[in-house]
Amino acid sequence: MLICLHEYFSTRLTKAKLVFCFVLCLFAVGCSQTLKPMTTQQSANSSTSKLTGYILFGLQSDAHIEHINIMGVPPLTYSPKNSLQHNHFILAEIPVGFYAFSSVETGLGLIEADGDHAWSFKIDSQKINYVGHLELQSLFKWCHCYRLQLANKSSFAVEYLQQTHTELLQQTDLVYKGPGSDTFIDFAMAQYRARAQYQVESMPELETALKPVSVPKGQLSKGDAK
Amino acid sequence: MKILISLFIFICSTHWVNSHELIPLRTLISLPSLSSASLNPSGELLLTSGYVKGNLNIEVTQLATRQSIAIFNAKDKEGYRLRRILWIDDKRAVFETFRHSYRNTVVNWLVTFESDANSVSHRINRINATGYIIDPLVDSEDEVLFAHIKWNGFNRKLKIYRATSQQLVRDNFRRAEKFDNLISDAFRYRTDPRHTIRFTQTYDKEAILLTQWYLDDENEWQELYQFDPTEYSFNPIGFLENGQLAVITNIGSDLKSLYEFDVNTQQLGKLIYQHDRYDLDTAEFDQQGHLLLSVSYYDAGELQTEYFDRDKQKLNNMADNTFKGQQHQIVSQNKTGNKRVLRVFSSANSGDIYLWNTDNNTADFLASQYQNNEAYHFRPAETLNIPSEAGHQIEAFLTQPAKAVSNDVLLVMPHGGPVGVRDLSRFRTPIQYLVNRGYSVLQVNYRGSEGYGKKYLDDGRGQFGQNIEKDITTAVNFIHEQYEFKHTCAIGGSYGGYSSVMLAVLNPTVYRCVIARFGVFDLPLIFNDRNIKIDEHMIKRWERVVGKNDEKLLNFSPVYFAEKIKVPVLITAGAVDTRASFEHSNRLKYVLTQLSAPVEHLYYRRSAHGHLDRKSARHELAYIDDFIRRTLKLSKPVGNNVNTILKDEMKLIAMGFENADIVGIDKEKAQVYKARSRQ
Repeated sequence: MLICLHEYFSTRLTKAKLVFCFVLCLFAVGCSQTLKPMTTQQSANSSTSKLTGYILFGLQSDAHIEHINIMGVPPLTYSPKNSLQHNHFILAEIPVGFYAFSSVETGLGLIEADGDHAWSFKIDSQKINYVGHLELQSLFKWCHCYRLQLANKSSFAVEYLQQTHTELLQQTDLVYKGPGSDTFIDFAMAQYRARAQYQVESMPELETALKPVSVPKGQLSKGDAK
Repeated sequence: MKILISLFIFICSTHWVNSHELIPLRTLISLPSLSSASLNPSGELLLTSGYVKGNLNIEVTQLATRQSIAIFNAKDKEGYRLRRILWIDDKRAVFETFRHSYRNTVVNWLVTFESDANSVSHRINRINATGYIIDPLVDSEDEVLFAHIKWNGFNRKLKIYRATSQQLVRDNFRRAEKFDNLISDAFRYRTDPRHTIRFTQTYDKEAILLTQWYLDDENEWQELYQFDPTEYSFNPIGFLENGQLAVITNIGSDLKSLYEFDVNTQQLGKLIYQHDRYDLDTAEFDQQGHLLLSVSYYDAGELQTEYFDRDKQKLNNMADNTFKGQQHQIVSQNKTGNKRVLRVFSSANSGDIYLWNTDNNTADFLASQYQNNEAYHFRPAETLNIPSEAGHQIEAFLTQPAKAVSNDVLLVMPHGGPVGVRDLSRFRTPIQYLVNRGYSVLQVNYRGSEGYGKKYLDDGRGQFGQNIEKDITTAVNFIHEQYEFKHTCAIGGSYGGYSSVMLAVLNPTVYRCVIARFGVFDLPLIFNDRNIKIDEHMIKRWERVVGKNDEKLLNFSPVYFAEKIKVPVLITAGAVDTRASFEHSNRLKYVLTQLSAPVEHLYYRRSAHGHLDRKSARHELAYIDDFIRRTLKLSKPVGNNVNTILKDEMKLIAMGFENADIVGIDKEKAQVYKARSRQ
């Protein structure tokens, strides 16, 4: 939507257009979009447009979760099917733009993502954007205290995609958009693609050791959304 | 004659082999049967706690009649662990229980005793007030200084009361004397030897500055000293007769030493005590601050307490002579000091508790802290001082099995940290397990270790994969010159896990296998493994340990040069570890798997930065032994109960793969180990 707005503005900015866009934004903010995780079959046949990208995040909780709320345009909501989540991944196609985890609803109350830490991320178009692993842990019996953090579990995300969404991963770039900056996904994907290439070239001797792949220098994938 | 000598040696070694028992893991990894022993101020009652088959038992014994009564019992499955126990006067004691498995529930309990010459009875109440006792005020009957904490979400409200035990029980402090003079955000209020609230501290996490405060005679809080706790240490002991404050600090010297400190000028004064080589750990003055009673430090990894009072010195010498080759410490004493509870321990002794009556100089053995260990022989650690090329001495500990049961494998075990942590010459269960199975274990206090002065500690900063591993390698080379080993492997936890991998990378011809436990393997990830770590102050803190957070760290991150790891690796990790994030281990596993390198991994579902349950801890050790034996193609360990033990351990490993709460379900592996248990 942001791209749409950007393109719309860049042609010629008029008052009418501005009002139109404002109304559009209000409409989008008001109606949250429900995140529906993609199945293997869906992802295999999926293709994004310039206006969308894939969000991938993990979820681990020892508390019952009703909803996870993500701020953005449009706002997103994810409602897990199971009450407890252990290393569960959510892959979905959403509009490109800036988002931020805002809160988790547990049934006992709302746990807000505290303002002291980074919860925001940017979804790039036509890419799988791994934005982190949301961890909710109850701390004490005698208070409604939870620790909500966004962890970087890139290697688990890579393994998940390799195992569950192989075709999508082969066609689409995976990028790290979680907290901070991290080179691991670039490194792992280079290794993965080299392995895939090797398999094509030298089947069926798949067990032969691969040549190591060096880290792409100066290509730290910036977590530019803080 | 030669034949006779050979025959004698043969008989001796055969005897060793025959008498050598392999210690069952269930025995070795257990809770202490006697975790604490504490005398009341008059010395008439002894409060003891311990675990029998995991059940927590607290008892009181009337020493005159030796009559014991149980005062608290909790079943293992209820998950009660004792955290703290203290007498508040002759008739009352408070203890604190903790239940990790029940969402970290903390409960304080009050026990009130009634005793006459022939019997003792008790009453127990749950304390409803939440908080902790700052000072039990043992000189005042039924009064304590209590820090009352009320939580509202993550915000806490602290009040301090001089309260009676019943006020704690009822959580009603309306009639208690309130201590109004609090500093906002201060924590850890402490009393001086006269039991008056005198010290507290505040911490500015953004600036990484700890401020020590003291309460002056006009009841005003004064700033005592502000410092960076990641760089310096400043520990107030108490005010001296001359008005100066006694502190243990390293702000004026390389070694932590005992100084006078002028609170007005904030300057260090006279040096009271300094050891030649080691940092001071504690110091004790008499109540008036006239006399320095004792100082303690770790000399060659052993706790040493030096007394300055002639009578105490005499008593200490007596204990030294009685418990030769062992370390001892007074864990409790009555008010007059003529009855003492003495803990005697060493690298080969998991702890014995004695009741020492200094009037008639008798030390009655009460019990071992781990009764199950009594039936077994443990091996002592040898302390080594190894010269380094850089000119410093490296202290190391080598624990070896008896020659007859040795499998000629050296396990190099770097400690965690790496900065501000150290190995001591103390009983350590994993080491004794491995030594019992025939391995020799080397621990090294490399640069960065605590206890040898600030420079030695600072020299380890930012030295991941560099000077730290140089020191370890110096020690390993030294050992290889002195002793012969067929194989060497590296094993360690936390930083030790990282170091083990790096040692194998840096010395590919030396190490034959690696066991990397709960480690860090991608150094930049230390700075961004979760959103709370990318805060500026967190980055600053970690940079003081790891070094600057830039691309150079990739050169010391084994994830990015895993092809240089030429030996089989076992990776173990805790799924809820947030200190050395679980992600580190999975990254290393991922890249090694991609390289088709020999790697095995165990991810413990309920473990954090270490195990929180005994089953996982046993499972990991049994698997580690099996991994090394398979990798090095070693024969069975030596011991007359070897078949029973191996059968049990194979079953134990299989059970771990059948339990979702240990390493998760892996039916294939479970079958393999079940089959092996039947062999």
